[in-house]
Amino acid sequence: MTTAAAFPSLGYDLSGLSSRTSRSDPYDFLCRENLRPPQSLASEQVRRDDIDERLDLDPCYRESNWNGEGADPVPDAAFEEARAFLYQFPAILPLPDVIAEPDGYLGLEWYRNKRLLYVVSFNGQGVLSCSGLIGQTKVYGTYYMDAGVPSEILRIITRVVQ
Amino acid sequence: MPGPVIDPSETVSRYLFKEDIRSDETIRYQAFLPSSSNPNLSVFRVFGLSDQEIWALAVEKVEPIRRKRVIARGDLSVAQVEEKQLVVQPDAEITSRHANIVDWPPDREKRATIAKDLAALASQQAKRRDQQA
Repeated sequence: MTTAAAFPSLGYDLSGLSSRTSRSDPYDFLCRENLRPPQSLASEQVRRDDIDERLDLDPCYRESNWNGEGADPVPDAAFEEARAFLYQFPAILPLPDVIAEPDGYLGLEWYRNKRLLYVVSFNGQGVLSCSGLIGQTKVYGTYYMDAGVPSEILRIITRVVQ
Repeated sequence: MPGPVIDPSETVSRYLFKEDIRSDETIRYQAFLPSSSNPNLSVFRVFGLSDQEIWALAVEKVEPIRRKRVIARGDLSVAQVEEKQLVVQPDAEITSRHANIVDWPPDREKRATIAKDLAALASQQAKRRDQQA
């Protein structure tokens, strides 16, 4: 299932999102946006260390009922999916906050303000469950990371953080 | 004491913990996201209570279950909840003041989006003062 509302001021058509997205290399997208990919292996290692640190959440989130209200455990596979996603994520964009979600997903949140945020969530089953607010418009959809970060996700995140 | 029927003008409070609040003091969406296995979001009906009594309700009813300190709350009107096609369902025992937000859509992405919307609407949360600890 994929749905997203069109939001003209974004400069692109969010209504065109599809569940099996036509992917493009994230760097292609970023180059079109006049952004540059990272160059240094050392800085890439620093970024990977940062990613690993962000994903190092309290082990309690891997257990059932971690919030006392029946929360579902976040599976180890969700952490690994999120790690793989972030390792491929363009270094020119900021890293997200990592959030354990009560329905057993691991969320990566890019946040500017309470009405401008986007979250990519993982549950260890290979699906990217995405949702966010762009002003009064709600954007949401499911994607698959068959060969890299879906370009539509990069577009929305860029809109949030730019 | 609130009655058995919820009025749209009533306020319900969602008690919040440290991890539910961002550094800019807005509410994180996961505070309003129910689990998959138990898709009810716990709230309290605070009609007629003083601010001090609302925090006392947290100390009595929530902190023992969550085993940590409530630091804030997000207040929503029932009308705001119902605008999202959700239902505030009070417990049979009215004196508990407890209710659940129910009827979440089956689609996970829709639920997550509604949670973000509710968190944004409720972001004018009251923060618990130290003397009320």
